[in-house]
Amino acid sequence: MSVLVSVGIVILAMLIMAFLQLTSGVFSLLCHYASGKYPKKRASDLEIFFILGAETIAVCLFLCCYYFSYILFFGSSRPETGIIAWIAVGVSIVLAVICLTFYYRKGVGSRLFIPRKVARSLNKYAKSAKTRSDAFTLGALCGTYELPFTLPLYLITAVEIMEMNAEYYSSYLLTFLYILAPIVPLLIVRWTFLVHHSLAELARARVRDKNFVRFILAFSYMTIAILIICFRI
Amino acid sequence: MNTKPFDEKLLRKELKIDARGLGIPSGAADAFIDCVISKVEKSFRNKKIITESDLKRAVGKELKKYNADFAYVYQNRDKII
Repeated sequence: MSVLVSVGIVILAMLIMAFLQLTSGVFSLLCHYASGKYPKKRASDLEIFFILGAETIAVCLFLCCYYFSYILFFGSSRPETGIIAWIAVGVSIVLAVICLTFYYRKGVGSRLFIPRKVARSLNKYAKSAKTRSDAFTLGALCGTYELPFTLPLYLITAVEIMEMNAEYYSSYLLTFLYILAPIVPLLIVRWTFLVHHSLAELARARVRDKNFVRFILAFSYMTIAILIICFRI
Repeated sequence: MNTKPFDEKLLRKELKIDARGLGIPSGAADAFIDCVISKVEKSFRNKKIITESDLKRAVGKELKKYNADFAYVYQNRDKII
């Protein structure tokens, strides 16, 4: 039962990672500008390096959280697990409420929670990305700006994966799938551009699906909180 | 107030990037862009100062006559993230 709960929590965390909109939004802008400014090969290079940047930061953050959790829970001064679990529940509920209310700004378009100055600079970087390193940095930067929503998930997932018995192959498989989850939407965006869909269609779809994304994010955070209350406290 | 002169070259460059990104053939894109810029310049001929949003609205309105996706991207690209 415990393993099933861990698997459930990790799958919900993967779902949240895949539904976060900042990295995919910046990536769609990069794809649009790169295909407008450069030949196909160079545009493709920039897109691949953006994905690599996003994946690298996801792996680094997950490993940092895994190491931090290992020291916290398996070190000599193990804290009261109940208190940590209640903190995780509180944070998940707060994030669920934030996703429902503040994830998207009011008004037209699909403007996100990030400050407008940051959004403008990300737009500018996406527009002016010339080299592979620019694209890689931009991908990593987007992963960092999503931290308010992803950091608690990395910590919860690291603990859950650690709690699973290492004999289960599923823990390795889940770790592998979890660190791949943030790039799944990027691969989908890249594929949509490859099959000749445009930024206009993607932007319209993002606006159309705003409420669906809000609901999925809030539902997943809330379910994680309920699973922790029922099975971990 | 922070003002700057209307930069037709910059507008043309931005529109060309958007057009190529949307897969509009370059000949057709150049023709749209010429028409749009000349109409926008004509409509603002009597005004000394215009805001960026006025310019955006006018260009978007003209672009919409030629290509709805082009107009949508031009008007909404800063509202995507």
